[in-house]
Amino acid sequence: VSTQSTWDLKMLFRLARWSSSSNSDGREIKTREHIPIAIIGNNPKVPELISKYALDKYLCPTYFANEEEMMKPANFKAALIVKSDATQIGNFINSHRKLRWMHSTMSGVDKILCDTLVNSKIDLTNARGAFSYPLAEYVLQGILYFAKNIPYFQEQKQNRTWAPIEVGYASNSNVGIIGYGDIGHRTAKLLKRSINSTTICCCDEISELPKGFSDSCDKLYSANGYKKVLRKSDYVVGILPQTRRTSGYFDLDKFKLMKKTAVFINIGRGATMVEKDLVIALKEGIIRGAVLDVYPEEPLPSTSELFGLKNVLMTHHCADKTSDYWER
Amino acid sequence: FFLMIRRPPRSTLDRSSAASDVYKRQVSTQSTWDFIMEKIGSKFKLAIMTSKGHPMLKKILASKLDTYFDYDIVESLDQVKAMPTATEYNAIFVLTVASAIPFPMVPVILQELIVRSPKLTWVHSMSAGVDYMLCEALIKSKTITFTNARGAYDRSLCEYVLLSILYFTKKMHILQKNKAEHKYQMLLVDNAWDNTKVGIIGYGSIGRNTAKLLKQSINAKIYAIKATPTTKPEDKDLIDFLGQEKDIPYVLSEVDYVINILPYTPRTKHVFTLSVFKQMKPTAIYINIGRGATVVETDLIEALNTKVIAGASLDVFEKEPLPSTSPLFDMDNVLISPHTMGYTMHGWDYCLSAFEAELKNYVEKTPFTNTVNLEKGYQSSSITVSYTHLTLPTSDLVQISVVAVSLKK
Repeated sequence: VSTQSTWDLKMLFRLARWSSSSNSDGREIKTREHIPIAIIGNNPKVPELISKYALDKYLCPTYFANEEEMMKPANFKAALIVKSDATQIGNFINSHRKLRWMHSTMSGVDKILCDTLVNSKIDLTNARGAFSYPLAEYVLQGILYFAKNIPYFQEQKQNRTWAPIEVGYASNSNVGIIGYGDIGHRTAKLLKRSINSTTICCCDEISELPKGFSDSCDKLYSANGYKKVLRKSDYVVGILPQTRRTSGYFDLDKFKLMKKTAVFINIGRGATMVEKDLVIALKEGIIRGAVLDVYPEEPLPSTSELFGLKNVLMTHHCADKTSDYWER
Repeated sequence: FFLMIRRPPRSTLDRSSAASDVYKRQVSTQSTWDFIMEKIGSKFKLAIMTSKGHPMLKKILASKLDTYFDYDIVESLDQVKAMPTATEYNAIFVLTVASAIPFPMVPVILQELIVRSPKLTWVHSMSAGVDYMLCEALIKSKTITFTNARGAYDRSLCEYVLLSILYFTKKMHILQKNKAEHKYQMLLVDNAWDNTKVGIIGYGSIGRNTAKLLKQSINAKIYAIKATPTTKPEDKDLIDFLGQEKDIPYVLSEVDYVINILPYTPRTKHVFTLSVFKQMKPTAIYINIGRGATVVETDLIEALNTKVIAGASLDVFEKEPLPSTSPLFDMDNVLISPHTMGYTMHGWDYCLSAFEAELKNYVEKTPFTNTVNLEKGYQSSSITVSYTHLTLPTSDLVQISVVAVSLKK
């Protein structure tokens, strides 16, 4: 999220002192005062990790017992968003006029974006790149699951029958990544390293490309080149953020463009796919299967038709919920 | 005018005889095979133990390998018994998987055929595991070289091992169970990178390729168990701990994933019993891509039921096909596949290339690449033991009918 804020002179000087005295090998950073930071959202891990990594030497974190206390006007210039929603953030910003920086512990910020935040001069940073590796492994797992025809074998297991068929290879397959950013970069790197796949990527913002993307990406198209990506891929990985443009991106037309043996993997946001169209595509054999971690409605209601389909691998938004989640 | 100015055909150019030989070899469209056959001359006699409609036969004909041998298709015991007492066969190619010859009959037919073939010097098996075809004549013979297709089916099996490891690391077995119950529940999952210890019991060609793939993808720590301590130079970077039979308890207590790639020999029969499973961690997963006879299946079922181990991923079983009464079908934390993880769409190509390589060695009289060492572990004194695992229910004899499934459906 870019900003066009103007900095106070005071803040500029403070930053200059910070950058000149900081060292990458973790020696003590000297500041004249601790930076007061508001922690929005309760989690016992946060104070634990702040003390563990000695961040309380330069931070002065303030925890709030309830929402009323949080909304009292104060002079915080920085805030850490652990768990929140758009209205809470809006109210918080309105009661804290001196906010300059907010950091979200998640990579997806669609839940906390609100008009007040967008229109203000606050810098919003997120945890980009922190959860890329677990998601990359999840994608590899999904690809192997379908390459080895495990849905067919699970069905045979349910019917208690022994019906051998040939299995396929995951190696040397074409993987298409729609929404290529840091997660796409790490995923492509892992897939190249392990199963030697060819990656075809689609990225809208050239400024968002990660460093070293030429190592992982074999072909790169802009947003208009999505047809080429979908037509050639054996496995389509959707890593789109939820914005006005990407809402309902994966609809029946896009599924029809994909190969019939293609597998759709969604690790971005559920609102980027149309659930009805996905169910139709899976039932009628327009695509072979799907691996879903995110859904349009979370928690997914038990009446959803996705639960009953056999060629769907479902996980409940926990692909990145590893035991080192908070450390990341 | 055109005839006058065109250059004469190249073979008539003035060159020395040795150089022209070289020139012929380089430019001619004949392959090196034909050059070898020019030296050797006659074809040898090959007996192919298979049935007539087998897909490999078409491939052999298509690759024109049948110009180097005259082959007969041996389909049944009756056919062999009707043969004269001294046939002309120089080699046998056992191609019984996915054919109409039932598994229990293979050693019987092979025995009769070997006894009737005094000129036999080479037997080649299309599969890597040879326990189902061993017969007394083959073991006791001193003139026959026995080769197999070692390494031909490795890639697919390695990917299956990686899949099993990632499947259980990401707790898919619990999540799929939740899906069946229409339940939405977040779980903590694990990262596999630098976080997995894998024990490979029976480290050979498949073990080496698995170790390579696991190191590349998830940087797993490999604990390998081999019968002998000999290794190849590339194993230095792959194996973190190399042990033998006495080190099995140590390895089992350390690792999160135990991969069984043991062949079936009298020495490896029923290696995995309940006491061995109890040596594993309670969070460990057992993966079997070797032979089902190395495990006591009832003990495995008990270990899974009493949570001695956390799950299993099985491709081979003691009795194949697995009878539908088996409790393994009911367990959520078990992945079952019907002995197909080595057989892929390109499986026949790999089989053919393995056969071609050994055929080349046979014809050029160079040492074979993949000989089966029959003296080590296949001693004739306990050879009758290997037949008992083929006590399949006589009504459904095992056929791996390889069907090309149309994935569009």
